[in-house]
Amino acid sequence: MIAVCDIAWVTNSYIGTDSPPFNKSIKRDWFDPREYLGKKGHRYYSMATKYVLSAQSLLNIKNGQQPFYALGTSTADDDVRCLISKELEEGSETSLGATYAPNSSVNMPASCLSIKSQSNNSNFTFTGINSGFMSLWAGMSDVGANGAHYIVGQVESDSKSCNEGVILWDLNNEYKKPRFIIEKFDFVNFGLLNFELVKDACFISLVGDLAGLNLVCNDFYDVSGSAVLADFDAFYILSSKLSNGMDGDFYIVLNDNLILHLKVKKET
Amino acid sequence: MHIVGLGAVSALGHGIDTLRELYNLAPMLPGKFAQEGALSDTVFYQGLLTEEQARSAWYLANEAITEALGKTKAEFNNIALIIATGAGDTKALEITKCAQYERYNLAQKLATEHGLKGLYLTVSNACSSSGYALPIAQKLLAQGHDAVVVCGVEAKSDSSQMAFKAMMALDDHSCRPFQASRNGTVLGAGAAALVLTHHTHVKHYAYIQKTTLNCDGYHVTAPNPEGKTLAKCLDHLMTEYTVSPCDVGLFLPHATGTQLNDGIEHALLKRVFPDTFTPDKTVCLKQWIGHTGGASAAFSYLSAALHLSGRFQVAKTNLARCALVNSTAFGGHNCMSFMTVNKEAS
Repeated sequence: MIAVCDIAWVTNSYIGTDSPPFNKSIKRDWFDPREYLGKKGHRYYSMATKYVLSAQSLLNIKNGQQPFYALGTSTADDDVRCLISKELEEGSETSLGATYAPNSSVNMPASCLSIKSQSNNSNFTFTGINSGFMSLWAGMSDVGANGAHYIVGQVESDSKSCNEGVILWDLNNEYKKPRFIIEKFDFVNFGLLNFELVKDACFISLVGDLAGLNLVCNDFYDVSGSAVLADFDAFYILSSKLSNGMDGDFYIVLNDNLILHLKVKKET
Repeated sequence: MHIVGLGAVSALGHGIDTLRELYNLAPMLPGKFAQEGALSDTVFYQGLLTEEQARSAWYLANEAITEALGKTKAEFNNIALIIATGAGDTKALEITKCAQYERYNLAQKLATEHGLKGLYLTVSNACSSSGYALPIAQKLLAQGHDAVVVCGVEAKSDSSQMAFKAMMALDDHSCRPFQASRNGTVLGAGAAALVLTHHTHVKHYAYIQKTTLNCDGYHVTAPNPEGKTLAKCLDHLMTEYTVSPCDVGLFLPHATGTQLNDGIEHALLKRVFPDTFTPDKTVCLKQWIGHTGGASAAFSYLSAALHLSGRFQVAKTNLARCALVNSTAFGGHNCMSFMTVNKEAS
């Protein structure tokens, strides 16, 4: 069994560790990393790294604890790579300095978490579709098998969007005041059903609702056309459902054939 | 995990046979990254790859996976796919200007292309991505997949080249691992794919006994100068899989050609393996194909598997029955693996 001790949110719609609102109606128009990282502590980091370091500061990680990390993202390196591409295209002098250039590595947010907590344990960065769920799965697998202490989550940095930020889960197998417990997780294979997820995402969601299932489906080609945000939204939806006290069986549609099943028990 | 399929494409060309008798090849000289512009003063290992091929992570990965799956695909029902890449398909950002999500969407596209029905995901732990993919593959096999394809891939990228240039990490001549004259690394394009399984009914190349990971937690780009965490990673590996230092007969170090990385790595290997860590047993791949980033560890596993299986030699020695593969990366990632001829052997 896996204890989820806390969930930290630093997004444009919510910052904190309590349950966020479902409808995301409380908007914050700004996020000032200096509040969390100090006047100088935020310099040279990408926006994604500022988000994750701020979120980690909200979690109750004690001195000397060396968590493992697994973080999903598809945009953490966008700021730098877009800047370089733009400057090369325009033929202008590069403004990229040696201190900012490492942010071109998409694993920097997770690595900076390790550096900040002085952890020598491994940290993973997953990218692409379901990157947040993959980080959750990797963390749950290790906590379940080895009793490791894991921080997992997803960070996205898309300056064009009003919905970016990070959600971090604190997982371990110590049952001191957990928010909820993951009693079981496994894959369910669709086998021969083999539907086309892109086309059928709405249909699956509808069937899930009708059947009374807690079903989370990444509708990754939504009307806004931003697959990244849809991916982050799916992780947000799962996190907020659990954070708001829902429990039972959750089914997360990962691809055309696979569902990740979580059996969750609320701790009172 | 048994390695039952291999595929590669690099500056040396298409197919695993291009790595045959590497030790007989003189180190390669890279070409200009670009004819004009801000990157024209930098070099790159493109070799036999055309500009279009080198720029497309999709092309490179697809070639490697196609070769690796070959006839073995029919042996398995439920195959997962792990793409290991530092930058993804940068062509989507730099040339075709697709939506940003496309860049890290290779795994989904390739799983569909090859009809793979298992889980697909992407590991992006910079230059040690392929090494970090191995414990993930182990989990997938333990949780019910029949086989896992791990494909490391890195394409030619303006933004990666410029970032390395800005960090002053590039040598302007060639990649010279472990040489006194080394002055940085030189990037290259390529992909290497491995098919991994626990099943024994398929003829295999080699066996991956154990992989250990840790993180320096020290600096975003520089390794811990004392190499303490890398040494711990190796200690842990040797504890988990008991082997005498004398038994390790093949070394595939990360060996980027940078002053700090090579210095730390060489000192550690010389200290732990004083008798066996010798040039005839060591393969520094980057002097022929460049630093292929997220694919570089996959190239090391692939080369070791070819050598251990007796398919052909990549190092001068012909006696190796146990190989050590090391990879490190920006962010302080360390990854070490032991490979043997078969599951029981050491």
